[in-house]
Amino acid sequence: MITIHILLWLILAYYITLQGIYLILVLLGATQAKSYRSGITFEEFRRIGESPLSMPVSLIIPCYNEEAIIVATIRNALRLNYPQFEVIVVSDGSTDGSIQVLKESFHLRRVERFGRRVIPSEAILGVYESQEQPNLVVVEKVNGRRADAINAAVTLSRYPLVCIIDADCVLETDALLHMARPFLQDTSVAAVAGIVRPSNGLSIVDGEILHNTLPKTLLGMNQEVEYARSFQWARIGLCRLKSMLCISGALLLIKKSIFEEVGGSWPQAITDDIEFTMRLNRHIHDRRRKDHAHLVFVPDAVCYTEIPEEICQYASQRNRWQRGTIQALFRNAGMIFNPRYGMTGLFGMPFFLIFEALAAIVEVSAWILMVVCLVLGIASGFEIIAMIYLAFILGVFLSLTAVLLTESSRLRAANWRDFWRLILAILLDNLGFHQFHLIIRVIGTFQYLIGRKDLGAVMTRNGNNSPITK
Amino acid sequence: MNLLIIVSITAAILTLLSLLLLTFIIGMRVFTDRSINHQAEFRKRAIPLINAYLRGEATVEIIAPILLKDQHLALLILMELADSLDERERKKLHPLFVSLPKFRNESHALKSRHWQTRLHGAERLGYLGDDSSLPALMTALRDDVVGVRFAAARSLIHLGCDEAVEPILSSLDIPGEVSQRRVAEIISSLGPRAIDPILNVMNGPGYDDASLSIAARVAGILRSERAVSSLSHLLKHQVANVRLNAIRSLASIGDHSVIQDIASLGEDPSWEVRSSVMTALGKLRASENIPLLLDGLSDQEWWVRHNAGYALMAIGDQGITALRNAADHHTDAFGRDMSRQILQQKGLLEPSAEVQP
Repeated sequence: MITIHILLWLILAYYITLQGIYLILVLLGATQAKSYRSGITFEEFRRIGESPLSMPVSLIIPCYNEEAIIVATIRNALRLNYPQFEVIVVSDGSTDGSIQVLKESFHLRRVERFGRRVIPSEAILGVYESQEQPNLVVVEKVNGRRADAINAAVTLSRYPLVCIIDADCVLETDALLHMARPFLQDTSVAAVAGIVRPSNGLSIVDGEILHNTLPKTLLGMNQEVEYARSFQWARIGLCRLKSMLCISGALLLIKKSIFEEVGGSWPQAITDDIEFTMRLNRHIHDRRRKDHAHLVFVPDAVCYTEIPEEICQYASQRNRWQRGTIQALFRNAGMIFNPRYGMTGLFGMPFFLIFEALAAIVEVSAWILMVVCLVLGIASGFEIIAMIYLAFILGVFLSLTAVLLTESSRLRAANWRDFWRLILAILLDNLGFHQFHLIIRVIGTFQYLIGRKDLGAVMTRNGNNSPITK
Repeated sequence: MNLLIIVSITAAILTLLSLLLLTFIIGMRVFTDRSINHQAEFRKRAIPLINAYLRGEATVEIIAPILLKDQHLALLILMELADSLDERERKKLHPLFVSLPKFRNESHALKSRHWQTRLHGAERLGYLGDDSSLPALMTALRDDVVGVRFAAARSLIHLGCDEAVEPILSSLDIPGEVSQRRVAEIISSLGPRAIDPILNVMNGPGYDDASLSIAARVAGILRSERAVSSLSHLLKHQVANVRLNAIRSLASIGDHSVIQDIASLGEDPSWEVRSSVMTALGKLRASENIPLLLDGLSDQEWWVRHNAGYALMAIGDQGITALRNAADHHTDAFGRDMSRQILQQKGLLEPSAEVQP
């Protein structure tokens, strides 16, 4: 009985520590964002946008069977406000009509391109350039996963900065200007991450965002809250602590030279973005670079990505994320609690292991333990309800903090109806959705441990959920 | 202590805090909505009046009381308008800027302990200031924070202070290509008045490499023919970045008398310099240097090969003929590949059907 009580205390302590750290990260993120905003000078982005001396960017869009949305994504990318950039679209062994659609839409013609072969990749079947859009390049290659497609594109890219986005991503028109700013200000910046938000409620015409409302389904709304809390504010806080170990593959701007030094993306990775970010952090420390290379999070460069609103697709995505996180941690295990990696090794990696990778297992264990206590009569029904309520209200408080910060930024809910839907989603988050998410992650953990390394079911897009085809 | 008591107290406190937080968020949302409406209304009212003032149809006395209702927003609107006007029109706005009492002592902001205050103070002085603000801005050029120094430099140039060029160069001689580009861009916005000071830098003793690089770059941006001999002299400088910027600028100016001096750097140890030489020869349509460009097609560095190919294309018929020959007969495989790539990009050659490994 004493053992069970100790376990209950430990779980309570774990949960409060987890939420407490998240709260600190969110608040830290808020101070960072405030400091960032107050450091921007008048018309700074207009100057970057008009300057012929701004660093040119190669925008890379890897895609696999995305014929329904790829043309619209490219049109959005070509509308970006930036002085000099090229768009490289890589069809990674697509078996649908992607290439044909692209050929017809942009009047592509085949060319040979001989890039700097620094990172190996699967064979390139053809390179195409557009007769209408001189800054568009389409690459057709043998399938080798997203990471391999990125490597091939970087090899063929021309510019010193490389921006990687997903095929379903919609960038705000000025996103590249905001992302490029840190490189202009500080030569030691290695890579820049931006905010990723769900695109399911956007309405877009000709690649331009007209309205920004929230997703229509409850599942979509829950993810909206999760993105704001974890991927937006907490990640800025993690960056401040030199512990940003996951730059979303949906939006990354990196110096090409650094990408090549790191060895490019790892094609065998289940989630190549998490693995790459960890390796990038390791590289920055390993080389004992004298240039103090570091990562930056820009809180006003926004990319919108399609989130799954069907339960099967959601489960598959989160299962893959969990397996990818564990794989990346195993591959970079030498960094955990290693003082050589500074804050990244002493805080970031342990945090990622204990409070990200293992969180689901601990939480599910807590639920089981509570049932055991109830059955054995160790704890009363009132005690169990009190603990469940504490978990619920901790989650609500943290999410409200994230909403407060979002409301004080330009990303606030567009109208009162959306605002109240967001509050409702916060209240409902802990009443089933969160528990379902935990079970998926536990399954993912065990599947990884018994050797599952595939990418799971591909999220098929028919264009109906995506705002960019409207 | 009993677990239940701790859990219950913590949960009760968090419930209370959550309710307070929600109330605060709702209040803030209402306030933000009002603020957005106010800003839209203010803009709708102020901008036509300021435009009328610029056309001479309204006086400062009419506009000032309206601007005083929200001085921060008024300043922002005036700055936006000032940036869209030419220098003569911009000067007309100055009485409106000084009609905002909140910003009359903006020079004091440069002494603040907070770098953000100093940054915005330095920036605003470019619009609000006059000759009396110059000493404070000159002092700000020595600020600890680089961003403040940049803002001060921009404001000094905005106020048309050509004496500031040399102090700007010495205070912002930060190593690194990107920083130097930013400084060059700021100084070049002074226009032809920047030429004499940068010639002094290029010809005078005691200036460091970063200053020379920036001065060379400014000369190119302004396409100053007076700078040709100084730039030619810099082609022999020991620092690669100085040579690089001298080449770029000479190419921008377009003086053909320096073609051979530029071509002499075709085998420079720095690939960036070699790469610039190729681009410059293309810009200058140096057909007599086609053999050098053909050699460039087999350079060990991809960028040199790439730029050599484009330079041949830029030369015109002779260069294209040479590139066609190189595509078939160049002794180096990289040279043949690059020639083919560039001819295909320009639609002058059909691609082969091979798969690239």
